[in-house]
Parts: sequence; C-alpha cells; structure tokens
Amino acid sequence: MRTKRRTKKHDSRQTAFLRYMLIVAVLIVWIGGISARLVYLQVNQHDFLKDKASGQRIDVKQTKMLRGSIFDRNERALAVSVMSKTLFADATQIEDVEKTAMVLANVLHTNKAKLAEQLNEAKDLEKRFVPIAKGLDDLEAQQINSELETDGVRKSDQPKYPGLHWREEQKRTYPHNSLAAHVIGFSNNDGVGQAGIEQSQNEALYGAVIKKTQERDRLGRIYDETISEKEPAKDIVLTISNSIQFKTEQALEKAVKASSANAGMAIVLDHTNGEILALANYPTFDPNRLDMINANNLSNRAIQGMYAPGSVFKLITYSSAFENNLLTPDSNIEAGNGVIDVAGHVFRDAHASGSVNVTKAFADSSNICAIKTSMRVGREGFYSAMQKYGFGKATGVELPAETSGILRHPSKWYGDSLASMSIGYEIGVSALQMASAFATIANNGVRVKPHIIKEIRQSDQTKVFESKPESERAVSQQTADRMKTLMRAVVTNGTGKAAQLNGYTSAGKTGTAWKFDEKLKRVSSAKYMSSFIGFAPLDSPRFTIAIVMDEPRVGGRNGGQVAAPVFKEIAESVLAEMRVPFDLTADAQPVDSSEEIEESVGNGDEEQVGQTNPSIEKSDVGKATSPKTADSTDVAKKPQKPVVADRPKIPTVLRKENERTLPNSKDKFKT
Amino acid sequence: MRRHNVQKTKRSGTVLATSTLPWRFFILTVLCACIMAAGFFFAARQHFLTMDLGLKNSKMRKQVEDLESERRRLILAKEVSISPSEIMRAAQTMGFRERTEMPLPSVVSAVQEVKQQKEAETVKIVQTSLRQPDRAVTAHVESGDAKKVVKPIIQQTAVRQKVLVKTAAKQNDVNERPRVVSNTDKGKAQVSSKTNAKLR
Repeated sequence: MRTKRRTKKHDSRQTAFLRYMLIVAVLIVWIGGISARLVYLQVNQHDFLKDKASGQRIDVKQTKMLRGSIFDRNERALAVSVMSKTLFADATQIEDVEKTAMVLANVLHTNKAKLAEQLNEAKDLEKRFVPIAKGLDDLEAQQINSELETDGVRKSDQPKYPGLHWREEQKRTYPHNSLAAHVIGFSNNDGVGQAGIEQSQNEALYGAVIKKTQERDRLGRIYDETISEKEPAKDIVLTISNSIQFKTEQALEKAVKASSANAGMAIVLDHTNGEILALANYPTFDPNRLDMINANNLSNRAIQGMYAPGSVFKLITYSSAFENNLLTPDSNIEAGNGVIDVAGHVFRDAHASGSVNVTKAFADSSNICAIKTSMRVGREGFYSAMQKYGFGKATGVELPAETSGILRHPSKWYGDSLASMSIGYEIGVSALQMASAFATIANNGVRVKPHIIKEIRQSDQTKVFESKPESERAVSQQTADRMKTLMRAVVTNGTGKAAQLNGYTSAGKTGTAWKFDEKLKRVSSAKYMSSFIGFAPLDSPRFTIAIVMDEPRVGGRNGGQVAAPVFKEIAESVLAEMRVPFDLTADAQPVDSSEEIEESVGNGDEEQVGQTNPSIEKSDVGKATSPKTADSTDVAKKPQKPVVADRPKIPTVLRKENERTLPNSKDKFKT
Repeated sequence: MRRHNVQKTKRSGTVLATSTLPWRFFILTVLCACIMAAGFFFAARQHFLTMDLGLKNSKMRKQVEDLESERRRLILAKEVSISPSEIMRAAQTMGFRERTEMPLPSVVSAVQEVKQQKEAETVKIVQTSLRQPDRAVTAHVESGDAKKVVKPIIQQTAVRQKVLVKTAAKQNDVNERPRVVSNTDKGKAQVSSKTNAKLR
C-alpha cells in the first residue's frame, strides 16, 4: 500500500513538475520570440521604424516671422505686415472631385466647371498644392471653415473637409496708400525690401525664417512644440509726420498738376535737429499696388535726382562773401548794363540794374552781382564754402541710392566755372542738399545732418538705435543773420513775393535754372527747374521747406511763380499745425506785391554756341551714387547754347569799352 | 490537503503544523508588483499630464499668435480709418469744404486802403473770399495803429451765423470690409462682397 501511495505521490509531483516546466518552456519560447522580434525591430529595422514613427508624430514647419513695422514720429503705422491665409487643395487627398468642386463653388462663389477642371488636372498630376483662394484674413477664413464643415470627417486641421487645407502667409500692407511712398518704399512678395526704408533697413525689418518642430498625437493635436530661436524683426520709427507729409503731398500734387510739370519735389526739414518732417515726390505710387509702379513714379527725385540749382545757389555765393568779410548787406555792387563776360562766356541779368546794394541784388536775383561777388571770394574760398555746406557728398540720409551730386575740385575748373557756379550752374545738387544748405542758415549757421530714422526698436519696445543729430558750424552767426535779412528781402521786395505768408514772416530764395535737354544735348531755355527754398517764421524759424518743380509749363516758369506758392501753402498749414503764434505786423506786410520782379535765368547766351565743357565728363556723372534717377546731365553744361533766340546780342565794342577788373578777383571778367 | 501541511519530527515524533507556501516571497512579490504598478501609474499620470500641458501650451501659443495677428489687423484698420485721406473724404461727406487760399494781395490791399483813408478814425475792412461764399476773411485794422498785428480770421459762415449744419451719416462703402468690434462678433460677421470679389 505504501509503495503504491508513494508511486502515486511521485507521479503527481512529476506530472506537476512536467506541467510546470512545460508552461515555463512555453513562456520562454514566447518571450524569446518576442525578444527576438524586438531585437530585430529595434536593431535591424531601427532607422526605418524611427523615421516612420517620426513622420507620423512629428511635423516640421518652416515659417517666417512677421516683418517689422514702420511708424511715423507720432507712432502712426505706415507699413504693417499681417497674416493672411490661402485655401489650397491637396489633389491627392480628394476622392470625389466633382463634389468638392461643387461645394467650393458654392462657398466661394466661383465657377464650378473651372474649379473641377483645375482639380482634375491637379489630381492627374498628383499635385499637392492647388491654391483656391488667396490673401484671406481670419474672419474670412473662419466663415469659409464654418461653411465647409462636414460631419464625420476626422481631420486635425481646418477646414473639416477632405483634401482642403489652409496655409498661412504674410502680407505687407501700407494703410495710407501712397502717403510717403518714396520714403517707405515697398517690399516684394518674399518680404525683401525693394525701395525706400524697406530697402535700406531690410536687415532690421526682415522677418527671420523659423523652424517649428511639432509633435502631434493620434488626433493630430500638437502636444509638444520646439521653435528655433531667432531674433524677431525690429520696428522703425521715422522722423516724418503723417499729417505734414499729407499736406506737403497734397500741395505738391496740386501744384504739379496746375503747372503741368514733369515732376515735383518737396522737403520739410526741421533744421534744429536735422529731422525730415516730410519728403514728397510727385508723381508717386501706391506701394499696395506693385503692378502700378514704374520707373517714372518710383524715382525718389528729392534725394536721387540731381539738377543745376540756379539762383538758389546764390545763397552760397553771398554767404561766403559775408563769411570772408568782403561784403555787407549794404555794400554796393555795380551790375552795369546787366551783361558780363567772363573768360569769353557772357552772362546776363533780366534787366540792367546799375549800382545796387547786396540786399537788392539778392532780392532781384542778379546774376551779375552774384558773379562779381564770387570773383571777390575767389576759387578756393568759394569751393571751401560749398564744401562746408555739404555739397559734393551725400547727406547720409538713410534712404537708398542717394546722390552725392557733382562738385569738382578747383583744379578742374575753367575760366568761367566760378562765375557759372556762383549762379548755380556747373554743379549738381539734390533737393535735400539744397534744403540742408538753407537749413544751415535757418539754424544760425550750424549745419545739422539730415536724417529720417528717429529710432529702431525691438518688438518689446527696447530701443536698439536712436538717432542723434550730428552738427557742425558752417558759417558764423553773423553771416547767417545777414543771409536771413537778404532772404527776407526776397519775399518782401524780390522775386519770391508769392512766398509771403498770412500772419507769419518768411524768408527764402527763388531759383530758376535752365534744364539740360537730352535731345538737344545742351541746356534749353524752354525747360526749367524752378525752385523756392525758405523757412518761417523769420526770427525763430521752425522748419525749412524746399520746393523744386521739374519743367513747369503752365502759369509761369520762375521759382517765384511756380514753387513759392507751394511753399506758402505748406508753410501755412504746418505753422498752424505746430500752433506757432502769428508774428507778422501790418507794416511788415509787403505792399508792392503787384510788381512782378523778373528773375535772371540761364547761364549763357548764343555766343557760347559750339563750346563744350570737358570739365563735366561722363566719368564725372558716373560718380553720382544714383544709378538711374540722378539726372546727372542736368548739371549745367555751361557753355552749351541755350535755345532762346530772342536774347539781344551785346556788341563786342561795347563790352570792350566797359572792360575793367575788380580787385580780389582771380578771374578776369568784362562787363 | 492537511497532510501536506503536517510535518513530523524524527526525534520527538511531535507533529508541527508548518506551511509549505513561501509567504514571504508572495508578500515581497506583491509589494514589488505594487511598487511597479504605482510606478507605472505615476509615470502614466505624468505622461498624460505632460501631454495635456503640451496641448494647452500649444493652444495658448496659437492664441498668442492669433491675438498678435488680430492686434496688427486692428492697427491696420485703425490706421486706414484715420488716415488723412479717409478723414478728408469723411469731412467732404459731412459737408466740409477744402480751405480756399486767402490770397496775400487781398490782405495787403486792405492795409493799403487803410493807409489811404487817414482821415477816418476807425476803418473796418471786410473782404470776403468770393470763391467760397461760406467762408470769409476779416481783417480789422484801426487807423493810427498801423503796427497792430493783422490776423486773418477765417470763419465758416454757417458757424458764424449759428446755422445748424446737417451732416450726412457716413455710409460704408460697398467694397469696405466689415470691421470686427470684438472677437465674439467674428462668428456673426458675414463674408463681405470684398471677400467674394477676392475669392473670385
């Protein structure tokens, strides 16, 4: 019995053991199989599976940060980038093209047949990006999403319709349209500045491309996101004032249209700190409409264009004489019969003035007096004065392609060069350079470098750049005061009476220069550059305004007729806006405004036919920084013959009789 | 079963009731299992919390982007609506007219006229700008006090006469996009004709 029991006991234990071992063996095999499979997957198939898993889970997106904004001095936005959305179709994901086309056509109010054709074509070509609607904002996108929402569509992104997606883009917008278009410029579709501040400050404004690594769950929701760190774009605050710019542009446009001029330029400059309050050109463009931009309206003539300034340049002539104590405002100059011959080049006045004082000579814009004055100053003195006023080099304003103008060294001058330059020929200047020169006088002889950027700051308002006015004394306070007196006389008794303001005193100088004719290859008395540059009020000037009209054809040609009224309109508006108190007394009002004083125009006459001036060669022109717009040929090619035919010839005998030489003059001339 | 739990000692022959099951091992196993389970539980909890935080973070980031985008859009809308050209258009709609230039000669001739009439004790010259009947420029000059400041006063006739000027309410342009007052209005807003035009 015992043996049997033992045997049974032994058997059951063995059976249990065997069963146990069997289970263990199965488990080992099972775990071994799994382990082997795991090893195979994680070692052999590692890369493939990792990529596959990443592809399902991780989404890498490259987006561009919003481009920086541009503001005016009063924090009014001039250029802003906003996000816009594009609805596109992934043709490979669309199963029923006809149905999709029908739904889209209903929502977007488009042609169903065209849409279906477009989608079918894309499906055949397996296109994954078929733009359906572009440039939509959030509001419009939401509306479309709600209309396209379909039940039962499992999709992580909007719209809930198979095969349709949104893509975010940024759109550059200029809310004031053409306002300050030449200052702001524009950027292309890639967000790269093409003109104006957009171009010159592209590096600061540029929105960097950032990489977003998004991890999504099975529903497509983002649960982890890694964004590559990049410095955000900066905002730029300009010195221009929105309202002053608007008034300036309005006045300029009106004047250009009224005079049928080719173009017009206007600059309002705060001479105390060099801030440009307004810089306008006409014709202009709307940066929102790139298709309307052409070479004619794109040119920022005020800084890129170069021209012979004409009589406004007499400011330099007389101030250099004052600076060297050669003259006083009451000194008399003999203008004779209004004709002078310098090194064989005959210059004329509009009329014979006889002996006049400097104030009268400046007010009447006498060429003869200016030439004689420059002779007293001499070549080096005059050249030095021009350099002090900043001619011959760019002002350094933060706008692209600024011209430096043309100013030749005295060693390259010819016999009559000094005379020509003294009346604003044989020199190339930009409107901004001239405005800066007048601003120097308004600022009591201290020249402040003009600038248009007030500050550059980060998106958190931290300033990274703040402009500081750079100034240097160009002429003495006494010279500046004397010039102010002379310029006041121009407005009260001279050629610039139309610049007299209501309730305010003003001062300035007119300029009317012959323009170089491309066809004739010489200056033409039928084409003018008319200008007026001045400031107001007289005692404590608040700003300097430069107006230049290119080829006015209707209603007068002189700066006093064409440009001075524009100065008046702008100055009165700006003074009122600045709340400057009236300073004009009744006795100060000019009472002889009915008398029109003709301005002396031109730099030569028929006797100069055939002469050429090798001093301004193409190589000189090439030195101008402006590539296209600098009309370097405007720089008076002084000896060329003007087209005028009715100018009286002065007998040579008469000139010889009047021949005399002034003391201090380095160049002999005849009168 | 009981037999398995009873063990006799060889010496004394006493029977001791001892358990063959390794309780200590079981307890340890259970403890380890509990620890592991708790570990897994906490790990899972942490994982899902992280996921949840990630989702919230992502949503908030999107919100920030949307709000920034909306801010810019509102700045743009504000700038468009208060741009000088828009104000001018609105003013014209309301019946205002552009300021007519007061020609300088008219003021000057007034001064001259005053000088000529020296006998008169007080002269009041009123010159009206004929081009704009609703505007008048008045220059007050008293004889014997020629140095007095001349201040041209530009007045609107309607204002001077205290006549009520009716202004037309500004009508939104057909092409003007509806502006969002608040985010809650977004859903209510309809796609404007501009949108439709764009989409076309």
